[in-house]
Amino acid sequence: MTSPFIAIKNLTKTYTVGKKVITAIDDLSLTIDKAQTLGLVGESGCGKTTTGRCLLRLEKATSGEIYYEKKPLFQFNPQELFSFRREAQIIFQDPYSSLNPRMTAGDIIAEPLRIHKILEEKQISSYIAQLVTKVGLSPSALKRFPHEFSGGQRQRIGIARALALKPQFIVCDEPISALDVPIQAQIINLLKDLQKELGLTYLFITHNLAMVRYISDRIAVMYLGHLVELCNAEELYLNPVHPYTQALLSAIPQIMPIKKSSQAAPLVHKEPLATEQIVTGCPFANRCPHAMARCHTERPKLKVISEGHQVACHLEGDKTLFQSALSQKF
Amino acid sequence: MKKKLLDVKDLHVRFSTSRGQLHAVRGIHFSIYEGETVGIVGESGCGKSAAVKALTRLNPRYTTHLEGEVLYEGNNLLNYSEAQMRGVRGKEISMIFQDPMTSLNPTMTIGNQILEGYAQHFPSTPKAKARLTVLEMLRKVGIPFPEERFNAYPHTLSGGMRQRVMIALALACEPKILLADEPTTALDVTIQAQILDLLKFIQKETGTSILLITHDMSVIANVCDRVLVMYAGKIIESASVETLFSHPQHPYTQRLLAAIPRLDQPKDQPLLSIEGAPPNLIHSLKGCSFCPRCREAMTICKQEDPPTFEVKENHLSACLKHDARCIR
Repeated sequence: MTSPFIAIKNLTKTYTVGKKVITAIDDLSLTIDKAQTLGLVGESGCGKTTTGRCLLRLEKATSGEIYYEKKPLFQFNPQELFSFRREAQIIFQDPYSSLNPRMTAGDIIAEPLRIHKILEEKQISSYIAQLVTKVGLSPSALKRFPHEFSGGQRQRIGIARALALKPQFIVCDEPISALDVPIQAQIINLLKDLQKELGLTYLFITHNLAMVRYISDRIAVMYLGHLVELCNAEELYLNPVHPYTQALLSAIPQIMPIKKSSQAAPLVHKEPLATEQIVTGCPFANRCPHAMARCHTERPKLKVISEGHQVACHLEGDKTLFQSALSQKF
Repeated sequence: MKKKLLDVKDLHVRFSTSRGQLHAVRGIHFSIYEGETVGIVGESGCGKSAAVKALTRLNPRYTTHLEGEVLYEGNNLLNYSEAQMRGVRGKEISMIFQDPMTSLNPTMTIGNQILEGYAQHFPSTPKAKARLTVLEMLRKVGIPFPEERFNAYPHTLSGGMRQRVMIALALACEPKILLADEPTTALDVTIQAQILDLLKFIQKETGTSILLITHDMSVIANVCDRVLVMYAGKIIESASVETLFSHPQHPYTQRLLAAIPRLDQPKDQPLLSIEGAPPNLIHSLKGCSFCPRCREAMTICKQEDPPTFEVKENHLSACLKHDARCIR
């Protein structure tokens, strides 16, 4: 097996607020293969954006390491970091605040080219004209300012800016959350087409479980800084194992009721703990319908349960326990 | 036949802007009956919030021009004085806003905020009794330990809890109609499910009619009895939830439904998006407003503003394809 394009090893990130220490990411390990999309889902405050920012070294991790093409990211010297910035880009959530209102769309897209001195000034205009056509805008748009565009068009400008340096890896941080549903579909289709054409690798961060399915090859579910489940995208929907994943899936309002499988999860009633409250045990234990005494004292480790499917849950280690917990429920 | 509570006739909302007059709501008709939940769905900028705010006249007073009739128990609310309106807001018609972070007063405890509105409408109620009503309300919306939380400030509560406080605040005076403007958009999906369940429970308990605004079709499918679909300031289709989802008539509704990601379909099918963007409502529109994005557009669509056709009983669609001239 070839080594992964990006490997995260035991990544931990804490923030100190006053005297409190808040753990945003707790011992996270995962890999992303080349030209694939890893979907990262979870509720607000679960650490998914922080993970994305650590991957681009926009945040320095407290401990752990990230290997980008086998090279340790946090040990890059300034030159290495500069060339890494060419290869890894980000698309932000809010197309309103992530574009400079005083720059034209053309200048916004050309700025990375000028910083990295990739093209002669003369070539830039024809290159970016070609680029905006690729993301579905007309070249006449380049002279306009961000406020003259709709949300979907602004997001396309953000995508064009991310693509300008021909990167290999793009972190998409909730790129569709601020958009209307038909426009979300436009952007997802665009990102998929670009991936096919340019061989891009995506980390797709979102809280929208229904949408992420269309773009991801694998999906990682995070809960309060912990990775709770990681598997193939189809598998997650057919066979969710972690009670939190089950609850998330059952909470998505459906237009046509999906077939209630025998493992249909009960709705989660309580709210998540504050991160500083989790001291021992499983972070989901207070909301989990199957929680046992052990869940409050011992943190479950990530286990491989079938090929490419990892789960961090005590129940999974013990099939009989899991079945009995389920049968009690129904 | 259920009693008609609210009857909106030919409502227009115009905003004065520096670039000219923006015609946000362009003549809508609808009614709300007792005890039902009506959903208004549409993309951002389609005028759904402007229309609903106009019902209680909450749009900015000096830059908004309202026209038409909003009949509540036979009286046109648009002719009421501000003082009369204050008697309606909260007591007869109440509202929940999208963002529970900014719609609560950060300097008041949640109990006192609810109490303030209650005292406004029932000034003669003794304070101790009013306090009991507020505690009862907090309990009803599922806030644990209401006595303790009565003295809590909004910033100490989570988003879901704040939205519960908003709901308690809106329902404290037992209004007949509850307007909910995107009540779950700012919340996580598991919390959204809790709040939607709460709205359904409240409806059953109190019989309040709910007008729910959302851009999320699946929220509509789970909560509403009837749906109004808005596009560019007009209601382009209205029907019961079952009919709308099984037999959508207007091309916009059909495309909107097709764009929703579904968990019961294979994932490699590309999502069906709607090309283009909604029109700018500052310009006056000629013909059907959806025509530039419509795949079924005919020449007539560019010239004539489509009237509303009754496709079936209680199922209205504003598309010229239902016109006798176009049916072959």
